[in-house]
Amino acid sequence: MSAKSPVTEMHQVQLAIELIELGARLQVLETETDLSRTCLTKLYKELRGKSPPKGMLPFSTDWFITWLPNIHASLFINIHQRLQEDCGCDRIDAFVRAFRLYQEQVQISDQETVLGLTRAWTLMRFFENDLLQLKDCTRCGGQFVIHAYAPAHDYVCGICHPPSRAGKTMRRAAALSALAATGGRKQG
Amino acid sequence: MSDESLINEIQDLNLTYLLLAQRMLQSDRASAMFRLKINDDMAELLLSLSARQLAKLSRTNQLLCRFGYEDAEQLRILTHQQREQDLSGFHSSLLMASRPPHSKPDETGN
Repeated sequence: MSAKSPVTEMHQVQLAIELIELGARLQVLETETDLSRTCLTKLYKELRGKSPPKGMLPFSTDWFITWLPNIHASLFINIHQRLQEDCGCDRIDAFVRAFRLYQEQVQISDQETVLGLTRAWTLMRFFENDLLQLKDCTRCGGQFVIHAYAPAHDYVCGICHPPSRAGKTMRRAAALSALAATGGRKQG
Repeated sequence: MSDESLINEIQDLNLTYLLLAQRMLQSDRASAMFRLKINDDMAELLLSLSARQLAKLSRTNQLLCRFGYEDAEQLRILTHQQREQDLSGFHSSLLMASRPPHSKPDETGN
């Protein structure tokens, strides 16, 4: 901390701004930069116009295994690994780029951003700590997030074999019935 | 379609591809390498080529960009998904971002 050059500090502020704009919580910023909490809070308030939310970050690996989050998480982490392993990015650089590339695909596919930035960061940390790993789907050959050391010899992913109620969330059902009520023209 | 117009189209596509690749690499090199699936040396070289060199390079009867899928079975699964969940674009993106099984560094730890 003592011999911090102005250039390094500027880079860190830039990184913090980028992360805040993408939706990072304070804990993410505190871990990924050397900037003080006061400085980060100030940046956050200025950029988002409100105080950073308090409380703990989600810490369970189970969320990433549930159906739709698993698909989103798998896409994100695959992109992250390619950037880090094949494109010469360092981890946080790969992280920011991977998140943008993931969001791009979400937009193109008309999906919602299921994996927020803080979740994506938690996911990266779970991978770094070997709590989660990637496994090949035996059908499509894509790589998907599973619990580390979980026995999964005949693993089939959630896209090749969706659970019976997949995608039929209460919110979607409500949206569909609202559409029907208004005599919606769009099918499905 | 005559062979000549086909070849013209291929050459046009080649040049468009090379120019797009250069533009992508200039604006965000790492993301471009990911999208193009090329390594660092190739990125460096592509960036260094002049418009003239790109034009020369595109004058061939074969396409310069290769097909993103190598495994027909994988593509068949992707295009013949039985239960459509509006996830095919997602699936496609994920499959292309996944490292193909044969190019994995040895996974003896399993």
